[in-house]
Amino acid sequence: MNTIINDNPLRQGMRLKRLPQPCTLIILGATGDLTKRKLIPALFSLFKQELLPQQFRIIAFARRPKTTADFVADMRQGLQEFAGIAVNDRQAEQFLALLHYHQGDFTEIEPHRQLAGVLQRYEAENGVPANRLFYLATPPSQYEAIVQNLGAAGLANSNNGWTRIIIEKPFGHDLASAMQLSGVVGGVFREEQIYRIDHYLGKETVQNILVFRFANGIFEPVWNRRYIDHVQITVAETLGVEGRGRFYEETGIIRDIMQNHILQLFSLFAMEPPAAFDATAVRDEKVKVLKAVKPLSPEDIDRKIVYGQYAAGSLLGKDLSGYLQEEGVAPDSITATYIAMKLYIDNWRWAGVPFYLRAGKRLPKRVTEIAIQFREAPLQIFGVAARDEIAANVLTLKIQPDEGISLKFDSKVPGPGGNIRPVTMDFRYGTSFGETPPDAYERLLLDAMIGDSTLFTRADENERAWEIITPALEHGQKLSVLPQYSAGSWGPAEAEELLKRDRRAWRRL
Amino acid sequence: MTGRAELQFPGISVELSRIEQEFREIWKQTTDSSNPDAVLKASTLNLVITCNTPDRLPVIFQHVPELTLHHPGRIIIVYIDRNNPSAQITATITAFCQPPRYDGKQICCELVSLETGPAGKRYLPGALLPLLLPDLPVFLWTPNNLVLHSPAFSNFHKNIERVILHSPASLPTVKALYEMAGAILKTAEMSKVSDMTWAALTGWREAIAGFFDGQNGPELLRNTSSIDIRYSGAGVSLPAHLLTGWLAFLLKWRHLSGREGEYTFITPQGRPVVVCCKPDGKAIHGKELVAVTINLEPVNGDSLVFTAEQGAENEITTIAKKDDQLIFVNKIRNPAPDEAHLLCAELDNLYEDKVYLGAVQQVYKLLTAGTDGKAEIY
Ligand SMILES: NC(=O)c1ccc[n+]([C@@H]2O[C@H](COP(=O)([O-])OP(=O)(O)OC[C@H]3O[C@@H](n4cnc5c(N)ncnc54)[C@H](OP(=O)(O)O)[C@@H]3O)[C@@H](O)[C@H]2O)c1
Repeated sequence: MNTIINDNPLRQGMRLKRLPQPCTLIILGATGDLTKRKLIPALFSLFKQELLPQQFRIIAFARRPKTTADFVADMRQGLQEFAGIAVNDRQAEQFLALLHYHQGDFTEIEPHRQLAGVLQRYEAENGVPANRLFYLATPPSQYEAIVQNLGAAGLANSNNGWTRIIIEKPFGHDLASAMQLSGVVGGVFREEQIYRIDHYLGKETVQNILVFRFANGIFEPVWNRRYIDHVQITVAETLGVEGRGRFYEETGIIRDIMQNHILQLFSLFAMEPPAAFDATAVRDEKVKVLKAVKPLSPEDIDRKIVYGQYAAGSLLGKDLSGYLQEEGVAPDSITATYIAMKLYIDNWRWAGVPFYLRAGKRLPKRVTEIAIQFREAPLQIFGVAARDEIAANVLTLKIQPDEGISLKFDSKVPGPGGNIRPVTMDFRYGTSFGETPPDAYERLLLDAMIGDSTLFTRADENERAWEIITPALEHGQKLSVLPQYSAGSWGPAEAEELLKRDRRAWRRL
Repeated sequence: MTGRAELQFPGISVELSRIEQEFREIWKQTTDSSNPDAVLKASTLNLVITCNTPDRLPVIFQHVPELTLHHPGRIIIVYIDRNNPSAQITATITAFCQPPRYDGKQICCELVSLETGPAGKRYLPGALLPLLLPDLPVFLWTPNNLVLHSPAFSNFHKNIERVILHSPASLPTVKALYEMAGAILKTAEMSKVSDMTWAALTGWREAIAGFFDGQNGPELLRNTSSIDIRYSGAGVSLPAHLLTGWLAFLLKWRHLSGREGEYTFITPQGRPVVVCCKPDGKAIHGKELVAVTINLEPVNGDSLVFTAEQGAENEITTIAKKDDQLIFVNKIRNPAPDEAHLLCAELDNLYEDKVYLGAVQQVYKLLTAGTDGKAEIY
C-alpha cells in the first residue's frame, strides 16, 4: 500500500504512536527455541502495550505435525516460563488466539503454496491488506531453501501490501557464503525487503551510543585522535557452550560475537555523524567506517590477534570443565572461545588510535562495554608523587548488565596533603529511568512491521564485517594449538601481552 | 520505606526552610550501605500540581505511582484551601518508592505537599522556586487552568517549561468556551501549553487524517464540502470545536460566517465548507465524541462519504463509501481517556504544540466573530 503520509497536511504535529499497519507475521521455525524464548514473549509484550495492529495474526510454520491447539499449549507454557504469566491470564489467552499452526517441510514447495492459500483466504475474509512479514527462525542451513520456495510460491511480493523478511544471524559462515546467501536472497527479495537481525542493535543501550554521541554537544569535539588514546570494546560472558558444543565447533567466538555484535558496537562508536537518523544515512556511515578499517596483514597478524580456549577452572565456587571436555567438542579442537584483537581505522578522525576488541566465554563476569581512554593532561604540575597517582580519564559506555555511563576523573583527596585519586561519576539507566527497557526483540519486531530498517544490518555492512574478520578466521585455522586460559579468568596471558607491548593494559572489569 | 509501591502520606510536616534538610535525612537513612533495602533516588523532572478542591487531592495521590514509574522526579502538590481563608503555607514531605524493577533497587522520588489558604497564595512563588530541582524541566499540571496570572507569579512562570491543562470537555455556553480558549491563549504567552483534552482527541485526528493518506489525499481534501461532528451530552463541546479549529488551522480555511455550532469556511481554493457541531442523543460512556462524517464534492463523478464512529469498544471505526458502496472499513484504537495515562504522555513532551495552539486560536476566533473581536477573553 503506497501511502504518502508526509503529504497529508492533517498529519502535521501529530504525535505518531509507532503503530504498524494490519499485517500477518509468519514465523518459520516456530517450534524452535528462539520462538518460545524470545519471539512469542516479545510479541505478547507488544500486544499488552497495544502496539500490535488491530488486525494481526501469527502463522507458525514448522515441520512437526501439530495442531494449532497443541502449538498454543506450548506457547502458553513458554509464556509462563519466559514472560512470567499466570495460569488463565486473560490477556495471554486473547494473544494466543492470534496463533495458527502450519505444518510442512521447508525443503518442499507444496507447504509454501498451501501457506500462500492460507494467507490469501485470511486476508480476503477479513478485508485486510496483504502485508506479510516472514521471520526466519531456523537454522541457517534452511535459509536458501525457504527463500527459494517462498519465491516459487509467489510469496515474495503481493500486489495489495508489503512483504518483508527477517533473517536471523548468522548471515553467512564466511565472506564467500555470505555473498552466496546474499545472491540467493537478493534473487527473490529486494534489499529494502530484507531485515538482517542482530539483536544487539535492539538494545536500548546500544541505541543510546548514537544519542550520547549526537545529541550532546560536549562529547563530539573530543571524539577523535587528538583526545582519545585508545578504545577497548569488551563482550565477556561467564557461560560456556552450555551443551551446544557441536554448534559451537562450527561457529567459534569470531563468528558468534566478533563479526556481528562487536563490529556493530565498533561501527556505532566510530562512525561519522549521519546526516539524518534514518536507515540509509545511518547505515551508509557504518559501512564507511568499516571500509576504513585497516586490513590485518599476514605480516603482523600475530601481533594483532590473540586466540584462546578455556581450560578447566572455577568460578563462584564451582568447578568448570575445559572446552575440550565439553560434549560435542573434538578432543583436538582449535575453535577459539576467546579472541582479542587490535584494529586501526584509517581516516582523519581515528588515524593512529588503537581499538582493542575482546570477547570470550567463561570469563569472570558478564560484561559488555566500550571504554574510551583519553590522553593524559599535557603537563603534570602536581609534583613527582602526584604523577603516579594521576590516572587517565576513562569514559565507559556500559551496555550490559549495569547499563549506564561512567566517567573516571582525578580529584584531590580532602585534607592538607596534595594527594590525588581517581573517582568515578556514574549514570545508571536505573537511576534516571525507573522503567524496564523493552526487550531487544520487541523493538526490532516492531521496527520491521513498521518498515524501519535503521537497526538492521544491510548486505554491504554484513559483507564488510566478514571481510574484516576473514584474516582472523583464516589465521586461526592454521594454528595447531590455542593459548589456554582457566575458566573463570580474564583470558590467556598473551592477551595481556597484546596491550603491554603498547604500554597499555586491559581495564579491570 | 517499603518495597511496595505505596504512598506514605501525609508524611512529615516540616517547616518550609527545612524541606531540603529533611529530604537529605530521609536519603541518608535509606542509602546507608549497611541497609539491605538501599534505594536509588531518581529525578528526571519537577512536576508542580495545583489543586483547589479537597476531593481532587486523593485522586492526585492515586496517580503518583504511575507518574513516578514513568517520570521519577520531585512532585510538588499545591493545594489552595478556600475554606481556610487566612491559613498560611504549610509543608508536608514524603518519599515515594517503586518496587525494584530495573536494576534491583527501589526507585524513589520526592513528594512535597504545600497547603495554603487564599491569604498565603502570594507567598507560593517564594516557596516553590527554592524547591525546584536544578537543571531539570518544570511541568505545571493545572487541570482546570488554575494558572496564577498575577504579577506575583511571573518569577515562577519564567521557570515553567510546560503547563499541562485538562480542560473541561463540555461548557455550559459559547461564552464560557471562548473565555476558556482565551485563557489558554494567555497561558500560552507565558510558557508552552498542552491540554489533555486535546491529547484525548489523537485517535479522532488519526481517524480523520487516515482518510487522506493516499496518493489522491490532497485532492480529496480540496473537495471536502461539509463535516458533521456529533458529540455526546449536552452543552457546548470543546472537543468538537477543537477538531473544527484543527481542520481550519491546518487546511488554512477562513471563517466566513456562523456561530454557535454551525460554521461556514472558505478554503484557499475559494470553496465553501460547512462544519456542524451537534449534540447526539447517543451517549457513549467516557467518550466525548460520537461520530464525524465528511462529505466530499463528487470526484470524477463519484460522491464520497467518510465516516468515523466511536464504537462501544475502545476503537473508532472508519468507513469510506463511494455512491453508497463500501470501499473500506478500518479500526483505530481509541481507549477511554485515563487521566494518569494522558498526563504521563504529556510529560514525555517538551516541544511546543503549534497545531494545538493553532486549533485553539481558530476556536477563539470562531466564537468571538461578530463580537467586535474584543470579547473579555482573559
Ligand atoms: N535460540 C536463541 O536464543 C537464538 C538467539 C539468537 C539467534 N538465534 C538464531 O535463530 C535461529 C533459530 O534458532 P533456534 O534456537 O530457535 O533453532 P532450533 O531450536 O533448532 O529450531 C529450529 C526450527 O526450525 C524448524 N526446522 C528445521 N528444519 C526444518 C525443515 N526442514 N522444515 C521445517 N521446519 C524445520 C524446526 O522445526 P521442527 O522442530 O518442527 O522440526 C524448528 O522449529 C538460528 O539461526 C539461531 O542462530 C537463536
